[in-house]
Amino acid sequence: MTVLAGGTDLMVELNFGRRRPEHIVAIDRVGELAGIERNGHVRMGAGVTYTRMLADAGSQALAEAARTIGSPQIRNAGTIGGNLGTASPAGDTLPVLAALEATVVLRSKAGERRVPFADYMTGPKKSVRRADELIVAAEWDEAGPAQTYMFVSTRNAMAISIAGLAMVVDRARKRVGIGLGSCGPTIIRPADAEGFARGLFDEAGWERPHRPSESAAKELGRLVAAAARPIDDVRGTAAYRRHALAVMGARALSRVAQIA
Amino acid sequence: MPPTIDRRGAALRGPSAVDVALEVNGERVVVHVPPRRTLLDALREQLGLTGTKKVCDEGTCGACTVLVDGRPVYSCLTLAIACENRRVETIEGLAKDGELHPVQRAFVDTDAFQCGFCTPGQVMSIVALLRTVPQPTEDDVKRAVAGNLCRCGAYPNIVAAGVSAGRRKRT
Amino acid sequence: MTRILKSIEEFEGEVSESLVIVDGHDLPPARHDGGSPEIGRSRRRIDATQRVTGRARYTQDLYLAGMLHARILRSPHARARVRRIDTKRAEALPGVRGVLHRFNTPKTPFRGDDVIFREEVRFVGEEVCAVAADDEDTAREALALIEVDYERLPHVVDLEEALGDVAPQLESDGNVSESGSHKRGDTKRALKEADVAVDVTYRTSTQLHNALETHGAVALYDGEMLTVWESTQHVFGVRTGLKNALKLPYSRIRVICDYMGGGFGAKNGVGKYTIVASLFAMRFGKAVRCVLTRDEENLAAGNRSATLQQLRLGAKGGRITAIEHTSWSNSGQGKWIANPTGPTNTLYEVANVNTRSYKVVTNAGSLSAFRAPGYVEGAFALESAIDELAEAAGVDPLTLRRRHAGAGKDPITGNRYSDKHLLECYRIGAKEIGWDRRRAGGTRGSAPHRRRGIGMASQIWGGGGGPPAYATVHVDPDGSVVLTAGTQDIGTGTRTVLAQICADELGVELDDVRVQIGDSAGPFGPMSAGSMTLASVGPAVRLAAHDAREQLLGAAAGVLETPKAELRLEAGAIVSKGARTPLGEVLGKVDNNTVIGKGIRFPNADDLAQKTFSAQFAEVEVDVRTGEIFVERIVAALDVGRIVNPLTAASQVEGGVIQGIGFALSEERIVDRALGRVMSGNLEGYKVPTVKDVPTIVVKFVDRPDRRANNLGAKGLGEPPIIPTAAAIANAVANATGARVRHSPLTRARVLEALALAGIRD
Repeated sequence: MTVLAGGTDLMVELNFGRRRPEHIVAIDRVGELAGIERNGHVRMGAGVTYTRMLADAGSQALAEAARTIGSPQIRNAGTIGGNLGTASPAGDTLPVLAALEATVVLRSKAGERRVPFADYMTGPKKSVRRADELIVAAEWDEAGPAQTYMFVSTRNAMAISIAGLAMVVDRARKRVGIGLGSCGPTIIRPADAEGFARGLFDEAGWERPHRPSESAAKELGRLVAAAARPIDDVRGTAAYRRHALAVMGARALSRVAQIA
Repeated sequence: MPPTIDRRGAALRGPSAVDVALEVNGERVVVHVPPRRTLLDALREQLGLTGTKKVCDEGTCGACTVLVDGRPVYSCLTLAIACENRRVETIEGLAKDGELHPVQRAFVDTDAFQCGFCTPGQVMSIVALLRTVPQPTEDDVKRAVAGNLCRCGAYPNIVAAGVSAGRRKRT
Repeated sequence: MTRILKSIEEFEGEVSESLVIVDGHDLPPARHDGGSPEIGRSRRRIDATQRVTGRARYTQDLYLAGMLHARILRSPHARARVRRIDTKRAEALPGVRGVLHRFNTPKTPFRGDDVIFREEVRFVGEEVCAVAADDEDTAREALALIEVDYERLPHVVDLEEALGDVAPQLESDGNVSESGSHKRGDTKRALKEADVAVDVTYRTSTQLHNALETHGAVALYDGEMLTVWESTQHVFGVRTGLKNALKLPYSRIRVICDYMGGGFGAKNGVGKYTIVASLFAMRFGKAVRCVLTRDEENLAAGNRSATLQQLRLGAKGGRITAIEHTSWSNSGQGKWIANPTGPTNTLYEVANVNTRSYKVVTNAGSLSAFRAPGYVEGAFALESAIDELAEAAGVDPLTLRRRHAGAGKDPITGNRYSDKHLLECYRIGAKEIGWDRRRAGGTRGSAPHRRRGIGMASQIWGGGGGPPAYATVHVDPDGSVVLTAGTQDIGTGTRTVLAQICADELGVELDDVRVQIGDSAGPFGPMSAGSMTLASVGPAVRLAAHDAREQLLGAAAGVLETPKAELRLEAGAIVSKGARTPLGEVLGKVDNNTVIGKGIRFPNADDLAQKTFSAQFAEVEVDVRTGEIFVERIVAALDVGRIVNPLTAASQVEGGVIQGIGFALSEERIVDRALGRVMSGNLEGYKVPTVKDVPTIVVKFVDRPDRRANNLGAKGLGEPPIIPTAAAIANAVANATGARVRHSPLTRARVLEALALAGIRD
C-alpha cells in the first residue's frame, strides 16, 4: 500500500517514473488525521501540515522547524506524517521529534502500536513501519518554551538542511533532549552532550534562566559534533557538518538556557 | 483546511483514465485523465491552460504554482484527481473583463519579470498572500515567494510589486 | 548605392573582422538633450500583459494537433563505445513511432561532428538514441526498453585530474591545448624588480545556466516547409544549424521564437533535440516536440567552465608593474573555451602582461557561453589578486585601481576607446557604498562573531555590437506601425526598447508600434548574446524609422500640399505650422498603401574600441563561526553609453548581479568523479538564489551617449553586471575577516577553511 499525504516526496517518484505503485491511498482529506490535541500532552495527527504547525505546533522547536521550510507551497502540502513516512535523515521535523522523545502511533487492521521515536528510524528512509501500517499521529509531552531548532543550508530558502539540530530543555521534568538531522543514517541523539547539558542545568537551577559560559557552550558543541556520523555529499562535507553542529550546539544552548 | 471525506467517500478509481470534475477559474470542467496525472499536466495538456509552467516537475521551483481552495500549491506535486470538486485558480483566471488583477498590474508597473517564465507562479503566490495579508510588507512578500525561483533575478521588483499591489488594492 | 564595407566587431571577448553589405548612409548620433519623447524614458514592457496573464506562448506551450513526443536516451557512462543497440522491445510498445540512433540515422553534421549520435559517447548525458511516440509517457517508457551494449572506456571528469599524468588522454594530442595568449612588456623583469609581489591560485566551479524554460523545439514539416519553434537566442543560428544538418535550403526552413524563458548564453544555436524533432517531423509528416527535462538540461545543455587560474602580480612605487595569468578551463566536450584572461589583457593599463589560456577536454558536459563567459571567472581571479596585491603593498585597493583605470586606449590594439567613464563609475560607486567607511581589517559586525567589510571590483566587456542587423518599419494606411527586426526578446526587454527607438525616431506613440521579432522569415539579425542586441539592432531600427518618416513626410507634403520642409511628424500626427493632422487621416487620403522604411546596421569605426565599463561595490557581514556570508548591499555603477529605458535597464542589472551572487555563493555543479555523474542536476541540488538570498541592490548609470559607437549612443548591458560581482564579494569578505577565499563559490566550508588558514578564530 502506498500512502500519499502531501505529495512532496511521493509525487517526485511518480513524476519521474521511479515508482509505479499499483494502488495509492490518498489521505490528505481524512479529517481524523488532521487534528491536534493538547492537554499537557500533544497528539498531532499525521495529516497536520507545516503551515498548521507554524500557528499551533505544541512545540516551539517544531514551529521553528516548520518555518525553516521556506516555501509556502511545500508548507501547505507537507505533513508530519509524511516526514515520518519518508524517514529521511534530512526530514526537518524529525530532530525535533527525537529531542521531544515523541512517540509514533501506527495503525493497521490488526490494531494500533506506539513506537518511541528512538526506535522508529532504522536507516536512511527506513523505519520499523510495516507496509500494512499507517502513521496516524505523533505524540509527546509538552516540554515548555526552552527549545529551539537550528539548521544550516546553502541558501536562505528552499534548501534541504546540511545539518539540523533541535534542543529541548524540559525544565519541569529536568530533561534535555537533542536531535541531530542530516548527520548520520538516522536522527542522532548525542547522549554525552545531553548529559553534559543536564549537569549545567543541575548546577544553574532548572527553574530559572541562566547564561551559560562560553566554554560550557563550546564544550556542548564539541560533544554534539563528536556524536555525529556525517558523510560527504552533494550538499556539504562531513567536516563542515561536524563544524556546523558544534556551532549550532553552542548557540542552541546559549539560546534555550536563557528561556524559562 | 481541505474538505474532509468520510469512509464512504473513499473510492477506488483507475487504473485507466477516469473523469475528474474540477472547478477551474470558476468554471466546472471535467477532465479525462489517468489517476496518476498531475494537476499541472491536466491543466496544460487537457485544458490548454499553459500559463502554468513546468520547470522542474518536483516541487523545487514554483513555476507551476496554482491555488487550490485558495491556497498556493505546486501543481506538479498534486494529483488532478485529488482536486476533484475543489476550486482551482490559475493565472488565466485572474484578469476579469479585460481588466488585469491588481497583482498583475503591479507586476507590469514595477517590471517584475524578465523572461516571464516564472511570472504566473510568482503572481499566484502573491495573490494568495494578499487574501490573508491585504497590505503586506516586503518581508511578507519575500516569505510568500520564497518557493518561487526566478532565474532572471527579477526579485527586487517582484517584492516591490507585491507591496504595491497591496497598496493599490486598498484604493 | 549598395557597397561592401569592412567592420570590426567584438563578440564575447573575441574581436573579428567581417564584410557588410550597406546601402545609403548612417544617421548622425541621436540627440541627447532630454527632449526625446521615448529614448531615456522608463516604459512598461510592451509585452507585459501577455507575460503576466499567461497568454505569452513559449515553445513548451505549443501543443499542436497530432503532435508526437520525442525523448532522448542518454549515456549513463562518462565514456563508452556504443557497440550495439536493440530497439525491438521499445518499438513493440504501443504508441511508439520510431527510434533514431547511430546505426539508422543519416549523416547530420553538428558542431564539427558529422553525426548527432557518436560511436564513442563522451559524457554522462550524451545522446545515444531518440524515440518518438504518441505521448510523453510512452516515449519515456520506450527509453527504458532500449538495450544498449556499451564498451566502457576510462574517463576523467575533473579539471585538475585531466591535467595530471595519469589521466586518460581523450584526444590524440592530449587533454590540454593552448587557446589564447597575450604578451606585452617583460613580466619576468618587472616581477624581479617589484617591491611587492603576490603569487596566487584561484579556482572557480562549474556554473549551470538553469534557464527556467529548458532547451526544446517543436518541429512541423508539411512536405515543403520545415517550421521549427524553438526556445533560442538566435533563430537564424538555428536555421543555419538545420540547413547544415538536414541539407535544406534556407528558404524552406523557418525558425520562430516568440517568447522564450531565458537563455543566458546556452541557447545560441541549434541543438541535437532540434535535429531529432526535425528528423522525426520530416519522417512522419507530423509535429514533433522535443523538450529537455530539468535533469537533461543540467547534464547536456551547457555550462560555465570550471577554471584553475594562476596569477603573479608585481607592484613598484604603489603601481602595478606586472601581471602573469595562466588559466585552464574545463571545456568538457566543447569545441572552444571562453577566455578567462580577457579582463587581465585589457582592463588595466599595465606595462608588462603575460597571459595564457588553455582548454582542457574532459568527459563532462560541454561548456557553452554563459553570460560573460570567461570574464566572470577571470574577473574573480584578477580582481581578487589586485586586492591581494594592494593589501601587500599597503595601498587602498580602489586607489590602486584608479592609477590604472584611466587609459583611453585598448592596450592590445592601441585603438582609442569610443568612450570610457570607468573612473566615473568608481566615483559614483564609492560614494554610494560609503567607501570612506572602509577600514583595513574590516569592522565589527552586528554580533560578536560577525565581521563586516566592504570590497569592490571592476569590469570591462564589449557591448558595442555591430553589423549585420536589419530592420523594416511598415506604416499602414491607418497610421499604425509594424517594426520587424532580426532579433529575439529573451527577457531583456528587446521588444520594448526597439519599439521606443522606432516611436522616437518616427514620431509616433509607443502604443502605435507593434514589434515583430523572433522569426527567421524576417530580416537577418544577430544572436541575442554578447551584450550586442541593442547596439546592433537599435541603430538599424532607428535608420528604418528614419527612412519611413522621410517617406511619410514626402507623402504628407503631397496630400497637404505643403512643402515637406515645413512638416514634422510628432506623436502620430503630421504637424504643420501648429496644425496637427493624424497620420492615419493623411494616409487615408491615398489609396491602400504600405510605407516601408528600411534600416541596416552600419559598420563600427575600425580605429576605435567600443567597450562597456563598470564597477561594483559590496558590503558584507561574515559569521566567522559558521562561515556564512551575508551580502547586505551591492552597488553597481555602469558606463554602458546611453540608457534607452531606465526601468528595464535597471532590471537587467539587478538580474546580472543576482546571478553573480549565485556564482559567488551557492552555485556549483558537483560531479561524481568515479562515475562521471552530475550529482546536482536538479534545482534542489543546484542552488540558484531565491528571493531571500538577494541583498539591497543599487543601480547607477553614468548614462552618457557613446556618440562614436553607433547612431544611438547606446551599448549592451546584458553581461557587464554579472562580471565583477563575485570578486567584489570576495574582496569584501577578505576585508571583513582578513581571510582570502580563492575558490568560487565561497561556500561556508571554504570560508571556514580560509579563516583557519589565516589563523582567525572567533
